[in-house]
Amino acid sequence: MKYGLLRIAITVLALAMAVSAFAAVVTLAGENPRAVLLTLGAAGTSSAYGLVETIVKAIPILLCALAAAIPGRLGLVNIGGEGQLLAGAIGGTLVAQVAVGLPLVPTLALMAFVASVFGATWGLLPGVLRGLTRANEIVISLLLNYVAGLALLHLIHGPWRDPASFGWPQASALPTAAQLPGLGGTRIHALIWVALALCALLAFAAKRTVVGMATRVIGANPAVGRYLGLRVPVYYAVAFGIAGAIAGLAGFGELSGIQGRLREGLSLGYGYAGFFVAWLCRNHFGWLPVGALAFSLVVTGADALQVSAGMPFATVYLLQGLVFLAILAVSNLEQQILKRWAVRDAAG
Amino acid sequence: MSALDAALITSVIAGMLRASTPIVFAALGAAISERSGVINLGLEGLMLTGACAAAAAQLAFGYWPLSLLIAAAAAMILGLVHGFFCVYLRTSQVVTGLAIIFLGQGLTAIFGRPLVGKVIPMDATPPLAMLAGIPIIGPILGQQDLMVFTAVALVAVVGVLLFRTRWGIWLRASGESAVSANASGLPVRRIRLLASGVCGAFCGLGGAHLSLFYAQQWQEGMVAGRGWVALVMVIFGMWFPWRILAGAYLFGGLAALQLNLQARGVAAPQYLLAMLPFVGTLALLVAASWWLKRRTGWMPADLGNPFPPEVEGKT
Repeated sequence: MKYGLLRIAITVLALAMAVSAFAAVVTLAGENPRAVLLTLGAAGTSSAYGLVETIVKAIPILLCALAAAIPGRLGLVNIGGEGQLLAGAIGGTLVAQVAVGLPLVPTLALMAFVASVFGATWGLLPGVLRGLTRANEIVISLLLNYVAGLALLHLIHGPWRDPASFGWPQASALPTAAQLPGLGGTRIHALIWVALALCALLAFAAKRTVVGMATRVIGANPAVGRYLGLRVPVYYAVAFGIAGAIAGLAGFGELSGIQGRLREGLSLGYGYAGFFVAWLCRNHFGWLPVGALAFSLVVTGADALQVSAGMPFATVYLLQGLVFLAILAVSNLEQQILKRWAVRDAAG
Repeated sequence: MSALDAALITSVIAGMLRASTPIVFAALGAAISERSGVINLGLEGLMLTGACAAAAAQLAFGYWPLSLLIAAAAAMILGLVHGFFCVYLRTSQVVTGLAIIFLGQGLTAIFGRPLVGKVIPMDATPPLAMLAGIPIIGPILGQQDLMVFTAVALVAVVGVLLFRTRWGIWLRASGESAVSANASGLPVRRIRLLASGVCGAFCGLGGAHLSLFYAQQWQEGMVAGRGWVALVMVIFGMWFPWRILAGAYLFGGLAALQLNLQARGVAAPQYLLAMLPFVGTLALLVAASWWLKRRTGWMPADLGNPFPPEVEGKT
C-alpha cells in the first residue's frame, strides 16, 4: 500500500515537472502556455468528435505499444514500430491491388494477414540479427524505419501513384471491399477489440504460462536463461516477429480503416508513441490501454494545435522527451526513498 | 577511362568528403563518450540541436565562426544533460539517449519554426580555392569547406589525445574499468560527465555543418538518421578514430554515389537509391557486430555500466 502510494506520488511529481518544463519552453518560443496546454489536454475530450478521435488514434498507439512491450519484457528495445507499421500498410495495399473482386470479409482478412506478415518480416530482421550477431537491435530497428519510409515514398511516387490525384503523391483509393467499416458510423474500427483482446491474452500469458515465466527470466538476466537451457536467440526472434506482426496490423488499420489509401503521413509517429507508452507502463500489458488512451489524448491535442496555433506536430516529441527525463529523474528519487525505508525497517 | 567516368569519380569523391563530415564529427564525439563508458544514443537529437542553433545564429549575426561556437555550446548543454542523468542520477543510458532525441526533435521543431524556408547567408570561402585549376585535385578539394578539413584534422587530434596523452589514459580507464580507475584516484564521474559534454559539442558541430555548409538552410528533422549512422560507425570503427573515418567515408561514398547517379538521370528510382546509405550502414553494423561477437577487448569493458556499480553497498 505504502509502496503503491509512493509510486503514484512520484509519477504525479514527474508529470508535474515535465509539464512545467514544457510550459516554460513554450513560453520561450513565444506561445501562450495556457492556451497550448489547454488545447493539448482538452481537444480530445471537450467534444464528441474529439473523444472519438482520441479513441481512433489510441488503436495504433496501443498496437505499437504491444509491439514495443513484447521485446521489452525480454530486455530488448523495439523502436522500429514505425517501420513495421509502414511495412504492414504496404503489405495491405499490395493485397488490395491484387485481390480485386473478392467480397469484403475475405479481402479484409487477407489484407490483415499479409500486413502482419510484412510487419513480422520487418520486425524479424532486428530480432534475428540481434540473436545471431549481437548487433544492437535498437539501431537496426531504427534504421529500418528510414528504409520502410523510403520504400513507402518510392511506391507512392512511382509504381502505385494514383493517376487520378493530379500528381499528388499517393496511391489510389482502396476499393470499398478493402475498407474496414467503422463501428456505429464513427471512424473507430474493429481493431480496437483485437488490440484489447491481445492485451488481455498477453497479460495472461505473461503471468500464467511457462513462456511468460521464461520471458521474465531472460529479461532479468539472459545468462541465467541460457544456463536454464532456454534458447535465448529464438525468444528474441519470435518476440520481435510477433511484435512486428502486431505493428503491421496497426498499419493495416490505419490504411484500411482510417486513410483509405497508402499515403505519406499514414502514421503520426505511432511507432514512437507506442514505444513511449510501453516504457511508461513498464511493459505491463494490463496498463497499456490506459497509457495508450492518455497519450492519444496528447496526440489529438497536438493535431489540433497544428491547425489552431501552427505549432509543429513535433511539440509532442518535446513533451515526450521531457516526460522521459522527468520520470528517469524521479525514479532515482524513488530508489533512494525505498532504500531509506528498507534501512529503517531493518533497524526498527 | 572516358572523361565522363573521370568526372563522375571526382564528383563522387568530392561528395563523399562533404557528406561524411557531419558523421565524422558526431562519431568522434560518440567515440570519446563511449571510451569513457557512456553510451549516447541521442546523437540524432544533439546534431539537430547543433544544426538548428547554427542556422539561427547565422541568420541573426552572420558571422559563421560564432555560429559554430553557439551550435557547439547548445548541443553541449544537451550532452551534459545526458551525462548528468546517466552519471549522477544513474538512469538507463539507453532510455536517456532516446529521451534526448525526442527532446532535440521537439525543441528544434519549435524554435526552428521561424527559420524554415530561409536561405542561410554564408561568406566562408573554401580554404583551398587556389587549387581549383588543377585537374582531379582541383574538383575534389578546391570547393571543400573548412569543416571538411577540420574533420580529418580532428580525427588525428582525437587519436593522439586518446592514445598518446595522460588525459586519454584517464578517459579510457574510466570506460575500461571504472572501479580500478576510481581506485587509482581518478574522478570517474567527472570524467564521464565531461566526455558527455564533449560528445555533445562535437555532435553540435556536425549538425552545424549540415545546416550551414551542406544544405544552407534549416529543415525540421534535417539530420535524417545521420546520428544513428554515426553511432554505427563508432562500432564499425571499433572506437578508433581512424577506422571511424573510414566508416564515415564509406557512408559518405554511398550517399554521394546515390546523389550523382540521380543527377545523371540513372533509371533507378530516387527513393530506392536513397535507401543505399542506410542499407550499407546496416550491413556494416551487422558485419562488425558479428566480428566483435567472439572477440573481447575491443569494446570498452565498462561501457554502459553506471559508477559506482552498486549503490546498495554504501548504505
